[in-house]
Amino acid sequence: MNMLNSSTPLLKARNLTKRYGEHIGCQNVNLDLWPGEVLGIVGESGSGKSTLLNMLSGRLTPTCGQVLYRRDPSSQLLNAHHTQTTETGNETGTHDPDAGLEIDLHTLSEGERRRLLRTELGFVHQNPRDGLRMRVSAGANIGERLMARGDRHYGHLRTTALEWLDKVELSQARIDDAPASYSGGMQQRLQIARNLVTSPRLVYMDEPTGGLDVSVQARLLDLIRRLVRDMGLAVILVTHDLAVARLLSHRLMVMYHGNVVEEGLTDQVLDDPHHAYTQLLVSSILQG
Amino acid sequence: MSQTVIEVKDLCKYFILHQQGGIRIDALDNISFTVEAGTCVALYGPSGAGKSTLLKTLYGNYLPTSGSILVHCPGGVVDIAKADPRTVSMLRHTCISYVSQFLRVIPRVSTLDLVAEPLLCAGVDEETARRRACDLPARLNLPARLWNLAPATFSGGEQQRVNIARGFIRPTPILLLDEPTASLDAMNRKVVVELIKEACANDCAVVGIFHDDDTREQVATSLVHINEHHDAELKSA
Repeated sequence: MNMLNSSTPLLKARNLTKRYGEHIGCQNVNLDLWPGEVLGIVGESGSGKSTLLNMLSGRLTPTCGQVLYRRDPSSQLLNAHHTQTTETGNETGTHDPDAGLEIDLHTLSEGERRRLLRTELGFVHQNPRDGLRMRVSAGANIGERLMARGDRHYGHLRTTALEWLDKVELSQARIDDAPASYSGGMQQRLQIARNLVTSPRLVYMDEPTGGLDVSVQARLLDLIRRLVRDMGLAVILVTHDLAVARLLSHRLMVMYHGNVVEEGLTDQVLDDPHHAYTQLLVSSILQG
Repeated sequence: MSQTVIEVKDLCKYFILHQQGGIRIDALDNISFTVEAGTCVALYGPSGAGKSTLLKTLYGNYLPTSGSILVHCPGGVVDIAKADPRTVSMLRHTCISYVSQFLRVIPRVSTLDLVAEPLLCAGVDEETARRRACDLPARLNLPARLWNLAPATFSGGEQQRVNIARGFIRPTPILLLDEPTASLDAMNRKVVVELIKEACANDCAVVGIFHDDDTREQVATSLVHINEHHDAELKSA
C-alpha cells in the first residue's frame, strides 16, 4: 500500500511538552506518522492524551517542542515564505519538492493554521456539537469546507453533500434538516462527512465513538475503517477504549502521567505489554 | 536445494508480570530452527511449552527477549525480532499471513467483506477482491446463505472457517497457522489439509500448531519439538 512505500513522514513531533504551571500536561513526546497510517493514543483520563492531540493539531501551543507537518505538494495554500524547518536546525538534505514542504504548525499565523485545518487536516471532536454548526442544515455543514476552499457552485455543493450523506449512511432526504434534529450517532457521522469532504490527508479524532451506544459504535468503526482505507487517510486517534484502538489503529502509544510509556504495533502492545501500566490497562478490559 | 525462508536463532522470551509481584514466566529458551520454502514445520509439544508464544513471536505479535528471526522476503532479509513496527506491518501486508485460533473482527461486518479485507489491504481492486472472496468460503463448505451475514452468531467451526479463508485468500511466502483445525469436522479438516498442501506446493513456508495428530501427520514435513523446559529440537516428521 502507498503508506508503506512512502518514505517521508507526514507529521513529526519532536520533544513536545506542555506544562500548566507546575503541572505537566505531557512531556518529551516524539512521533512520526506516515501517510495512510492510523496511530492510536491510549491512556486513562488525565494522562495527557487530549493535551497531546491538541498540540499535534496546532490547536494548543506547546511549552516547547515542534510539530512538523509535510504539506501537500499540490496545494496552492500557504505560500512559500515559510522556510523549511528541520529537526536539527540546519539540515538541508531533506527538502524534496515532490514530498512537499515541511512546516511547523506552531509558527504559522492563526489564519494559515485555520486554513490548513479546513483543507488538508480535519478534526473530529468527541462531542459532535463541538464540530458542527448546529443551526445550519446538514448540507451546509458538509458544504462549508468546500466553500472555504473556494467552491461556489451551488449545484455542485449540493450534489457533493448528497454523495457524502450517502457515504456516511445518512438519509439524503435529511439534507435540509439541522443537525440538532439528528441523533448522537447521526451527528457523529455528519461530523465525519464534514471533515472528509475536502479529502484531507490527516484527521485528528478525539474519542470519535465515545458516548455512542454499542450498536452505533460498531457501525461507525466499520465506516471509519473503510474511509481510512479507501482514502489513504492518516489518522491520530485518541481513545480510552482499547477495543476501539485495536480495531482501528495500526500503531499504538500508551500514555501515563504525561509520558509515553510504551509504543509499537497495536496488537503487539496489547498482546505482549511490557510496561507495568500497560499491563494494568490490558488486564482491566472487561470480557463481554 | 530449497531456499531457506525463516531462520530462528537462539530465540528467548520471558514475560514479567508487573501486576502479579513482578513474577517472571519463561516461555522460550534458546530456540533455533529453519524453515525452507515448500515445507511445513509443525510445532509440537505439551500444553504450556511455548508453541503459541513461538508462533506469535514469528508474526511480530510478541517481542522476543533475545535472539533473532530472519525472514527472507521478496524485498530482502529482515530480522523480525529487531524490526521497527512499520517494517513488521509491511511484512504482514506482503510476506506473512497468520491464522489465529479465534476470529477477532469489527462486529456487524459481513463474512464476504471480512474475507475480502486482506486483499483490499494489499491493494487489490474491490471487484476482484469480492469475486475471489467467494471461492474459499465455498471450498470450506460454508453455506452461501451465511456469506452476507456477520459471523458473530456463527458456530465455532463456522467462525474458524471464516478465519481460515481470511488467512489463505492472499498467498504469501510465509503462512503461520495456530490450530487451524481445532473446531472443524472431518470433512473440513480435509479441505484445510488440501489448502496447506497446495500452499506448500506453491513454495510457501508453513509453520503451524496442530493438536490433531492425524492432520499433523498429513501436512508436516518436519517437527520442532518444544519440551517442558521450553527448548526445542528439529526432527523430521
